Amino acid sequence: MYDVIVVGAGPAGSTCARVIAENGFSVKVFDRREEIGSPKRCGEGLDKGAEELIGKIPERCIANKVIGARVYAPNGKYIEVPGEGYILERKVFDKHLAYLASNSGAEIQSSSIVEDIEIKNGEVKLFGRFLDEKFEEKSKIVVIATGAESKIARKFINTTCKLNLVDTCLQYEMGNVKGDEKFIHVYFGNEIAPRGYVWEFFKGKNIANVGVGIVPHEKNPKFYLERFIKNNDRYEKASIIEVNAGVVPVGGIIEDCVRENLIVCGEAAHHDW
Amino acid sequence: MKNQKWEINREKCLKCGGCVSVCPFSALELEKEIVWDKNKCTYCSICEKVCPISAIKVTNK
Repeated sequence: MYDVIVVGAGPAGSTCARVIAENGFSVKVFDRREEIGSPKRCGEGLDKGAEELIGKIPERCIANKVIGARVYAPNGKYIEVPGEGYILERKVFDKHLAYLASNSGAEIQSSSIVEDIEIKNGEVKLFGRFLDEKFEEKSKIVVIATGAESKIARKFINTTCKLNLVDTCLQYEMGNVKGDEKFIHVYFGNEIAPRGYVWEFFKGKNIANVGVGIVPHEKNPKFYLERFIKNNDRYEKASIIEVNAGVVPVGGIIEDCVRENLIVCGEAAHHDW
Repeated sequence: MKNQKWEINREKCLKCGGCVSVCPFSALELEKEIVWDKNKCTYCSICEKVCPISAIKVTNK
């Protein structure tokens, strides 16, 4: 019997587990993926201020450092907003957070799908599968940090996203893209990205995450992303190294995120906004 | 009898789970791939509308 079980080892789950372990409680973490941190579903930008919460980010997690954002109007004119930030290597960063938790005493297990949770008499019972092997585990508290697609949270709290309160996103990580790497670049306009924006986050050495998020619409984000790339000379010789997709809740956080011994956090509680 | 179908192009699907996060009936789940529960699905097509690469097709006529 653990004090706490955390489901999901993204930044929210791993950080939560680390803090619990550092405070002397027993904690187990399950993640469904074979590799924590992969696949990435993120533009990888992070405000430097985040270090006040999670501690100094090691250099190996940082692909590029930026000094501000350029925000572009549909006519191509931009304003510059200062603010230091990092473009991360999320696959390295997420693993770093998981190792921090592990070194603090949290027990982490990947390739573990949690299929069901029961709460009875103040005790949590959790049923899952590690590879092909069934397991059961008990705890006093369970933290759900499985991302917006969490189905397990919905048994207790309505975390379902409304269609008009999400952005549907597609991103290419590309090589050989030209641009000012000291800034993140965001482009607005109904022709560019309806109720959303196109982003360009440079990772250094002409590598960029270029993506688009839009309100669900008759044309998909792939249409807008490819049009943006085609209309920009800076992408003439660019290569697609990675394709990332995701749906981001943009309707505000779920305030009511606790039920008995269960708490929902991170993107599962729509903590994007 | 209604013509109702839920189809996914598994070669195209990027397994981002976006369809799972918007399904009002919890009929979808992301495991190794998207798992569809025929008994819960109402063919509302919200999953089709949210998919970033249009890998899902819902028929409800």
